[in-house]
Amino acid sequence: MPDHFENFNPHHLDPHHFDPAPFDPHNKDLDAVKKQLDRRTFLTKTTLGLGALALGSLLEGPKLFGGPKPAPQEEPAATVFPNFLPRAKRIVYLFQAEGPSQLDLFDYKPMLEKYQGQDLPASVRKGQRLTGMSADQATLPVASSLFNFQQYGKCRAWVSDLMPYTAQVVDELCFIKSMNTDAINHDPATTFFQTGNQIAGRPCIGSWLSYGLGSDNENLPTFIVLVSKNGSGQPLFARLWGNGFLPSKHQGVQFRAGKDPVLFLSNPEGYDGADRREMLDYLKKLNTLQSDSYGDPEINTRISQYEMAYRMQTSVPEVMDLSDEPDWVFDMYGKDSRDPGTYAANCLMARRLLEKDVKFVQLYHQGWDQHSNLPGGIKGQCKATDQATAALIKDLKQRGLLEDTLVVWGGEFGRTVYSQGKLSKDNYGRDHHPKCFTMWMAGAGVKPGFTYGETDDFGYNITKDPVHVHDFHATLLHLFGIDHEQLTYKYQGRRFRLTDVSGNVVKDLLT
Amino acid sequence: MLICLSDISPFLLDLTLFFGHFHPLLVHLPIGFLVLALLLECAGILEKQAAIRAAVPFVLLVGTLSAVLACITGWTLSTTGGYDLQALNLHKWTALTIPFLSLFAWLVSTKKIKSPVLQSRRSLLWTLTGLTGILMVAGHAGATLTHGAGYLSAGTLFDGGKKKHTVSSLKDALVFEDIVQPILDRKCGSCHNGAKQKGGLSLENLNALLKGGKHGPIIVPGRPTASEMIKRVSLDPGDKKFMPSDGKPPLSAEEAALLKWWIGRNMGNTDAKWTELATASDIPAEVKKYVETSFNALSPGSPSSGSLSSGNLSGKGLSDSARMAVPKVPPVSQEKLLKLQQAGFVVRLIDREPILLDVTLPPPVKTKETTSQAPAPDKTGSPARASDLSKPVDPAILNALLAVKENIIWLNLSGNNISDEQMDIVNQCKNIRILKLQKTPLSDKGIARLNALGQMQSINLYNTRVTRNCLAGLSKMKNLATVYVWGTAIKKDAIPASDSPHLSIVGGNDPGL
Repeated sequence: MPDHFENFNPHHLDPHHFDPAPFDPHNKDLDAVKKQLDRRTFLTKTTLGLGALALGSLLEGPKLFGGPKPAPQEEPAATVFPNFLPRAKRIVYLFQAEGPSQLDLFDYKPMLEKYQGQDLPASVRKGQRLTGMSADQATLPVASSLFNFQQYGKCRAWVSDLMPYTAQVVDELCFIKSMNTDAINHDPATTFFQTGNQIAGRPCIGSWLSYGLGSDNENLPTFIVLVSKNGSGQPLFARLWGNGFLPSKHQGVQFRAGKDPVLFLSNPEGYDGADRREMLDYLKKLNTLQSDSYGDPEINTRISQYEMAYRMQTSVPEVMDLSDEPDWVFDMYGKDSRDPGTYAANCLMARRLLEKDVKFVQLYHQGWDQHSNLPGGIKGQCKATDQATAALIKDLKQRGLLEDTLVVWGGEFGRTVYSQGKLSKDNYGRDHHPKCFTMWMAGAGVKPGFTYGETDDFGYNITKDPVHVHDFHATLLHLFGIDHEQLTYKYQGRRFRLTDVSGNVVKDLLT
Repeated sequence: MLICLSDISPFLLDLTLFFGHFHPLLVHLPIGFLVLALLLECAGILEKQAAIRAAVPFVLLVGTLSAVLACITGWTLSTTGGYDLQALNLHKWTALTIPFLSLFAWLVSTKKIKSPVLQSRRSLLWTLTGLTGILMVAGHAGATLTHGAGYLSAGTLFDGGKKKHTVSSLKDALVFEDIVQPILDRKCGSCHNGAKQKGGLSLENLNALLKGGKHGPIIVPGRPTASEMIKRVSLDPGDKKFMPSDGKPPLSAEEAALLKWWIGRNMGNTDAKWTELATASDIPAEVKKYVETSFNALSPGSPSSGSLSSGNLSGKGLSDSARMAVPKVPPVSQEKLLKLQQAGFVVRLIDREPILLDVTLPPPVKTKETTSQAPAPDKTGSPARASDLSKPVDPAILNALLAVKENIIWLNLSGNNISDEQMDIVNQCKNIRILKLQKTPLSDKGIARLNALGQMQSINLYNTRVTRNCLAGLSKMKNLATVYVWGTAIKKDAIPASDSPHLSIVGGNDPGL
């Protein structure tokens, strides 16, 4: 028997193993666990040498050939990606949940006034399925927007009076008026936008990016989620920023909407940083032993998340401390920005996180689901978001961050041209519409002051350059230097991609 | 015999072909064994090592057997056709002697031949030397079949005399030789060259191209859509007939458009220069842009030179302007990257071929006096740098950049206490495109030291001590498009337009501006 087995130390397997300096060799509990493990590892490691192949395979199949435990799929960040020179280093995705009405914000349709109140022609609807909410309506009366539209900026982009601040920055924006999706209801549509699949369970965009590109700031999570507080309407679930089948360290970390975005950052009284460090070092030893015997990649995730939490004790207070922001910055984002957890405060927080090279900041703002009372509802939504959104663009621009940060604004689908419920002179509602809606992007590598795609006079069908959700994903990954067909993960025997089996990079959007 | 078998049934044909594909693997066995036999025999000359000669017969025996296997698989592979006959014949006949010669050597080594000449001590040594010589000839001929003629010297010092025609600027470029041919070489050349002619087709030069393959011409002059070549490259990549086959990198949209345009308009005129045609209105915009930007990448000031084939277009996502001017830079070893990380930098690989880097020096961690926590360890496990912003950055840290100076294209030193003099180090990183120096105590003197950064597209100077005076120097940089100056003495309305015709100067949104 080769004598190195007697001194087998599982730690030596892992070259990245972090060896904390003070380690008491006479810790009894630890010794007991080690002893137990040594017998186990002895048996499995020596099966080949003893010729007891069958026993070895019965104990642990993957160790059939006596090698180390099956490595989880390697992180591709160091070896594969980016495939080519990226344009974007970070992204902030301002998700306007529940589907803002493109017809009242950006997609100006003057012809609608002529058809006001008339039934939507069948030649336009072309048998498009409707939701259960308006399918039984006797008529589908066309509702023109109640809001006035004007052209702004050098690019002469149309924006309604609802978004006066966004109107000021249109020369930085790249509008896509021809977005379309497969889903017609909130949850599948949002899940589709975030994961490329309508059924929950796949990794979301941020997880894919974290998996593919790794972290640029080890002291903060790669993927941070900020949800506006007091959101009502359709619920948002943590699986929308979930890692799916990717290792769980790639899931989005949600910061709380409130004064303390991360709880329990400070150590308890009388317990200083060195104690914490020592405790974590012992814990890590135990976890590593466990990981060596079971090979469960989730144990490694647990270890890395403990370390991340420890580093966040220092890094998060620095990011959250707004005392270095001058008043004019708060004024720019609007007075809500002083109220933690609001959309405006989250926009400001997003900028601070992006400054620290957090790769993916995901904002969610709920409440765009105007099935009825659209004029009143959308006004409130715009008031809560418009100024801060525009301020974020301006702020990123003045700091030089806009050139390598991608900003995305949009919901999961659009809204119908016909009124859901009763159409009156000053009130209407709009149902879900997946066949066309408007999104915009800005910053890194996308054309500023540019509008792509066209819809028909009813704003119901796309007439030119459709962009599907898969195409959006492919383009987004392209901006990060990733070929969307190469970013794959093998799970249950199949290689999965964010874009599934579709998706084309929309090169016309790129500078 | 194998050929006869393969005539009998398609299954057998498939089977022989399958084994034929092992030829490139198996050939290395006899090479290794037979050279080993020679080495053992040589070593055995020394009296101390005489015992080692006892291994020679066994090594020669396995060498012979593996040579037989290599010959059989090689023969079947050759039946698939498409090889240059001359090179193939040389390879085939030299290689076929090897099993016989090594069998002979085995017989000599085991003293099975009772000839007094061969009984002498040195006879085996000479036999093996001769055998190795033939092995080298056969091996070289085989490699020529696989990698194309001249593979040994390609890209090396010995290549110098062979370059036919290199142009340094678009002005002198010939449409076929400098623009079309390099694409064909890069994307089709590995299977359709002079020595390896899959489907009987070579794209080595214009004549070969016009001649076509064994199924006829591949080009119908003037009719790109009727040309087999265009059809093949335009098919769905999953199609059996799609070219390039076997998952080799396909032509980019721009490259295909260029070929189409060339077949449609300019076929046959080998002397046509790009400049004569560039003004024509029928050139698709994307083709024009592709050619121009490809050549711009070679313009003076960038480290590379040569024609379009110099490999600095890796063909990926070519429509991105960012892709175009990829500089030719030296490779970087893992240790160099590690050293840079140990110096305190965060290093991100943003392209692999060539290696391009995004390098950031994280600002010192701000720790409050009230918290007693230890500073967070960074990625490399070394403690984060001390929090004292008043101390200047150690020059040794910045000097670490010089090890990879040409590979850095994004550099971020913002928030660090760097000095004007240290800009001399930055100035040596001549391929920098995005330079972030905001929130540093730099002044005009430091910016004036940045004069070699011809590739720079944007420089971030917000919250520094620079004034208007630095703009004059910056506006001389022809690629520089954006300067961020918010929070400096530069006020937007105080900048006369003449100062910066092509510069976009981005100020802040604070009421002071």
